[in-house]
Amino acid sequence: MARSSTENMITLMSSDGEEFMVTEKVARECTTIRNMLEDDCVITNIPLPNVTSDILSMVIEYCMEHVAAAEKAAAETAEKGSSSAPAAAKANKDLEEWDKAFMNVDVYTLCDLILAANYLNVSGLLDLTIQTAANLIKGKSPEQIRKTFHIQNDLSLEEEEKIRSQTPWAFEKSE
Amino acid sequence: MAGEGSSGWSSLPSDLVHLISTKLPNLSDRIRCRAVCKMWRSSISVSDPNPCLPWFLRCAVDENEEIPYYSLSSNKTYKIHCQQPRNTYFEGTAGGFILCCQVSWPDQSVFLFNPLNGLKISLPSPGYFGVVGVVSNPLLEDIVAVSGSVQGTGNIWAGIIRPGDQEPWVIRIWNIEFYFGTCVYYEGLYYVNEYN
Repeated sequence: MARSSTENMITLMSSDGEEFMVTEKVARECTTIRNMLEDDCVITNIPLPNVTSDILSMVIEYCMEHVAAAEKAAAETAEKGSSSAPAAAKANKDLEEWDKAFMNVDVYTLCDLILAANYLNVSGLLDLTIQTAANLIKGKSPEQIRKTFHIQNDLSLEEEEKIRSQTPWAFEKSE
Repeated sequence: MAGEGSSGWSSLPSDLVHLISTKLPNLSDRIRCRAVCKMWRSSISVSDPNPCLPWFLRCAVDENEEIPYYSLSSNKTYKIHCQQPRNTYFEGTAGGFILCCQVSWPDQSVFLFNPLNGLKISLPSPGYFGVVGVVSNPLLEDIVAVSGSVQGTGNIWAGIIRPGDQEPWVIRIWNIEFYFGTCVYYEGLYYVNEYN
């Protein structure tokens, strides 16, 4: 990705001490960081004690892709004077495809990405990860959901039975 | 490695579990999520009004005391068991409640019924030929719109009933022959449509 030499660089430091240098524009995709920068414009080094290096690198990858897509769209609009609808639709579709491929992760990574997107306040990534989790839930029984997400059942038999007996229609097997 | 250091999905904070549930338009999915573990049970509400796609209810309880409904989101028909007598008719819904009218000639009783938690709120009877619909969330605004004929006369009336009231609050009486079809409440005004 081309960038001007005058662009500010920000160093993000993961919980395990790894440093990631990103452009200010990419860093600003995280609302949490954007707020820090607006409070203190000379800040260049931001420790992120809640995010591990592998998750942080994924969040940065997501932000870079989305910044690049937005820049490309803006450049095309400027060039042609107006945005062409088919080109914009294709760009959106490409980005959707990229998002879809990006979400091809195991459930532990997905969980950590949800936590990181929430902590860093990357609304697009939070929406994407939450939707991915919801898609994994749809149509599954409680037992299948526990198995998918590796969740321990800490409900007592009585509690579980109560939910089932109150709303048996929700537990009917799908055809 | 991802997952290390965090205990994963079992410790996902409540607000994020709730956020995921808002992406489940089918109520059955939400109810099944509530049977996953304690944390999910307390985080997920079945009465969030916003993202649930509508249900189509049949307008009365069937012979097996079941309410059949069709869920648009799952394209399936479900049955909710409820202990309501057969001669109960549904007049409208609002705020998760069904406005029910139970007729045993010459009497009728009117109540609000939540099919998910069984909650029942009695309403004052509007007299014969009563209720046309609910116009707002009964728990929030306590208003149910009704209309009826004034017994022994040809007059009809429109008004509202509220839980706890002794009798309906009649807004207007007309000395003409028509019936109300349904009613809506929009920006502080109450509208009824008529049919002959």
